[in-house]
Amino acid sequence: MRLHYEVEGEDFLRAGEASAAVKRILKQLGISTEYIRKVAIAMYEAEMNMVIHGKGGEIDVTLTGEKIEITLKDRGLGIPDIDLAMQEGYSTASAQIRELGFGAGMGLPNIKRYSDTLKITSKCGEGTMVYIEVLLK
Amino acid sequence: MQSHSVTLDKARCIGCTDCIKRCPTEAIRVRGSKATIIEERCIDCGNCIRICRNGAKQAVTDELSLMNQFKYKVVLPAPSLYGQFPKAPNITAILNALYEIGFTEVFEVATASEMITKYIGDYLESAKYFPMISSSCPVIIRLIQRRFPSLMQQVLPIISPMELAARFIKTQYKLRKIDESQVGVFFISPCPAKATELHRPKGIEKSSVDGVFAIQSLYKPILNILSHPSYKGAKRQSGAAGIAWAMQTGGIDEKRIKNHIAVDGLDNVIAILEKVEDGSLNHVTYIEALACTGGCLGGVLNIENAFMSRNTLKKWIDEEEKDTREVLSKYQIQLLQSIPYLFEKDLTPRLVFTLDQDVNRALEKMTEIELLYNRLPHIDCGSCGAPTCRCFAEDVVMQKSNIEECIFILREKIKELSDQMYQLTQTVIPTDSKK
Repeated sequence: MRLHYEVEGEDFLRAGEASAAVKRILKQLGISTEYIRKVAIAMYEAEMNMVIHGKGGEIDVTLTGEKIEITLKDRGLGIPDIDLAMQEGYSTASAQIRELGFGAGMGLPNIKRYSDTLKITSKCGEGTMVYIEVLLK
Repeated sequence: MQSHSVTLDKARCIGCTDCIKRCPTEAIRVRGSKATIIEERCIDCGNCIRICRNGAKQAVTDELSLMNQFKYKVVLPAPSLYGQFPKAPNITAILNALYEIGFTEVFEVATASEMITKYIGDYLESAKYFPMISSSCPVIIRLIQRRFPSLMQQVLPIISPMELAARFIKTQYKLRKIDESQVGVFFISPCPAKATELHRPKGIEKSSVDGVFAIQSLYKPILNILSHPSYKGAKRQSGAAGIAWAMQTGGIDEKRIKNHIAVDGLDNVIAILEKVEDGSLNHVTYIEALACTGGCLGGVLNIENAFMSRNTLKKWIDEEEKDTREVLSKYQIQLLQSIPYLFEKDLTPRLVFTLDQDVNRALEKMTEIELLYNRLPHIDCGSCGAPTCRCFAEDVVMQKSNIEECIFILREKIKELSDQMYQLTQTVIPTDSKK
């Protein structure tokens, strides 16, 4: 099954709604809890990145009994050095965002840790595409 | 044996939709103009009792006369009981009243609470998962089993103060060689969930409590006695810290547990548990989660408003701190410390929201639900008897509702039908001369 979500940039009140919806669906499908946890953490981090850095965008989810594929396309500035961004503790978040408790530089490393495949493609000025795959079996 | 403590009085229910919307596990539907509770989903939170303006939702607790079946009648008052009597001279007067009612022994649950606070601190020092979540509110355990099964390993495997107090009493009588069948241990409860705990205990094989009385049912007897007291022999066993358990942050030893969250009110608890699931609270050590706003003082079986009783309880806690209380004997303390307090068995998930055992069939159903949901008005009006359009879509796909029960779909179908009928009226009849 396919799911589609629109995410607003900097909308902190609604941030996380897409991952919450997916989480609810996975529970209803009877997916075992360890996988739900992986998806919840990975997708939440990625969705928050879209809200904080990416000026919002779209999330497409493809779900089978075997795996979940989550593609997030944002409208942000893009990531100039993906390897650097993947390092733990590296963050470009503003002081204001850090005040909110985000921007610890653990977003991408956490997504990598909790997903089975992570692909990031980015062009400066054209936004970033994050592809996350989590096996559900 | 009855399994739930929240039940419905059909005669009083008018079939409004107030309760279905407030249920955190979508456990209520209106059918045949009466609310019905889906048993396996109910977590006994009492929200529906609180919201029902017709008093149709009721909590089933035990009759006071139950104590007459036992020679030794031991009562365990929850600290929230004390908050109901702002005009009582002190807590001892309330305990005296319990003796006058006919109980042969009064043991304050707050005493056991103080032990549990210590056990929580000890456990957290060697816990494997963080944050750990408190287990003293049975509603929270039931909620996690149903809505947050991935967090079950984070539930503190420690019994409730009520259970510890009851085990302590039973052990004491056993040591005095008194037959167990003669000893009745009763809890005075602020909430229906504690009554359910008796019949369906969590994490333990069997509860040591024999009956649960609602604070409501003892309110008037105690009030009457307080105005003309005669018994004077009651002794206090607990201190300020134990009494504070009835309120938010009550179960937290601030000196030992540095990084904690105390959350009360089911909506708030759910929001926090979502965050735990998303991994954004991994830096927190401990979450004390209480289902009722204001903690146990907010339980539906209380009489006094939670904020009023908080004021009363605070007054006593302040007095207690400067007071010299009559504590337990050394022997009693040793005995209390020897009572096992860890869960005897793992909590099991209650997957009440799973659409099908088979993932692929569940996926088919979910796809169907999404399609149907998109046809619905998304206004969650409740006329179909389900709390939300989404929930209704699920009910239809699970063959528990008919799609025409949505008044918008019904109107659509009537329109289609009337359009067809109109078309039929336009049929030219060959022998008809009028046209």
